[in-house]
Amino acid sequence: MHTLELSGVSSGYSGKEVLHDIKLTLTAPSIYVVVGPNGAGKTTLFRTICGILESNGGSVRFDGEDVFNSSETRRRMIYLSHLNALPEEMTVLESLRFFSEIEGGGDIDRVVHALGLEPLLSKKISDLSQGQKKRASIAKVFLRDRDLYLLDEPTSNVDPKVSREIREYLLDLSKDRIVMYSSHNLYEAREIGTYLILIKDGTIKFFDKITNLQRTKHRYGIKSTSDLTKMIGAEFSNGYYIVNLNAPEEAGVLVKQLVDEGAVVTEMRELDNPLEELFE
Amino acid sequence: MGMSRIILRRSVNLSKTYLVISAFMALMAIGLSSLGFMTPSTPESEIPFDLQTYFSIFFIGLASMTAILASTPVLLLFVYDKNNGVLEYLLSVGKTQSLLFRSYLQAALTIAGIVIAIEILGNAAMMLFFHGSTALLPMIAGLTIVLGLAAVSFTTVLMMAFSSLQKQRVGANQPLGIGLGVVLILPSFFIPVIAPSYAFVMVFLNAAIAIALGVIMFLLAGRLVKREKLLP
Repeated sequence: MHTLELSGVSSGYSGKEVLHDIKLTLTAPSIYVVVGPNGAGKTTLFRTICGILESNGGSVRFDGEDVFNSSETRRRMIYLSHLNALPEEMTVLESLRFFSEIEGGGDIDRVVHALGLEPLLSKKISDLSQGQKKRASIAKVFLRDRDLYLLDEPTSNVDPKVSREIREYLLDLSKDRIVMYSSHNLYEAREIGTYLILIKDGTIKFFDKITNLQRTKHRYGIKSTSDLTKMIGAEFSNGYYIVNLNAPEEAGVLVKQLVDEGAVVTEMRELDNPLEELFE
Repeated sequence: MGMSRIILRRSVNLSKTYLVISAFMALMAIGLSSLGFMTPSTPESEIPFDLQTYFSIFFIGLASMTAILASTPVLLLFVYDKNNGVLEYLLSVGKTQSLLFRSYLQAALTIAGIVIAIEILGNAAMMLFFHGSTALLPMIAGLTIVLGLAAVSFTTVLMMAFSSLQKQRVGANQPLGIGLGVVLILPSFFIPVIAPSYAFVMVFLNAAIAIALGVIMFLLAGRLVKREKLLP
């Protein structure tokens, strides 16, 4: 079990404060999804946690060690920035060897296999597509095992298949490690995350289990061959009869009521992502 | 493999053009110096300075400029690594900004050292071939090493500092470092004409100033440059 503790952390660039008085303690091995609007401070938070940015006040500690002043502690974590951070003059294999040499070792074969990089090994990074570059970039993060992973939009520009494989890999890792994962894809965030950290204007507005998220809207879409506009006064839009419920539990009750009244219901789905409300 | 060796290898792979031009400049420096060895000692009544001394000191300046040119890919690599996030990644895995600075500087000095050594050996060979004054050899070799390495360290640190300290991330102040490094070497081209009797002493002073500036810049850069300045 590892502990990441941020106590009263403020940080930013060239004296301009971006994060204000962040207090956060992560102990449970899990995936912590970090969401927030553009410019909210997600990247700054990751850079501060991994010791690239110094906290103006407070401290960042990992297992009790001050991160900024301990290179050894920083070696136990890894930060994947939204940039690819690859030496573009090298081939994929050369770049993996390069990072492995810099870090004093790494299992190249394992990451090549895990991310399906075999066909790309002899290709120059500069010749790869954005998605392929992202895969090569992610590969360097998994060369060595770490105790803390800070991943800034790891699946952006990656095709759905690889994206799913990366998420599965991370889910496996998160069984005994802390994984912080920022994403703009709220559906992905909901699918992969156990905990949610919402940042807005450099402060943490929400930190809890995603399942504990209190919602005010519950919009459901129903596909039916019957005319539900007359039966329950639902609005019809894009092939769905739309109803607003007070709680998710009412969905089952509504379906039963419709069936009892002779309606044929072929599909019912939640239309809004609960995380969207956080951005409003 | 150490960081500086990896940087050295990458710099050479990044652009071989600099090395080719450096080789051409090195040949030019050795060739010009040989002109001095071929010239008989000139009586002071005809021209106010000895041509052999002039060309030897000219060699020191040109050889040092060659070293700056040969080490330029290291500086370009630094800027490139900073802009595409490689430096940020290295910081995140526990490297410090001082270590990164030192590694790039070591790589630049290694390339410069190799180039200077080849130039000195070439110059010595020509000196022996043309029966030049071997008494000058240790002095020329020593001053070339000191001025060349000092100018390269000054230029490298200055360029990295400019790259990291400039307010605008896309600013283009890095080449100023090369310009100022060349300015440091310039006196060695005209000192033999202005003060022929004290030429070697003045070039030595020139080298001492270059070393002092290089060390001051390195110490200041280490203090001034925060990790955030190495972010893309």
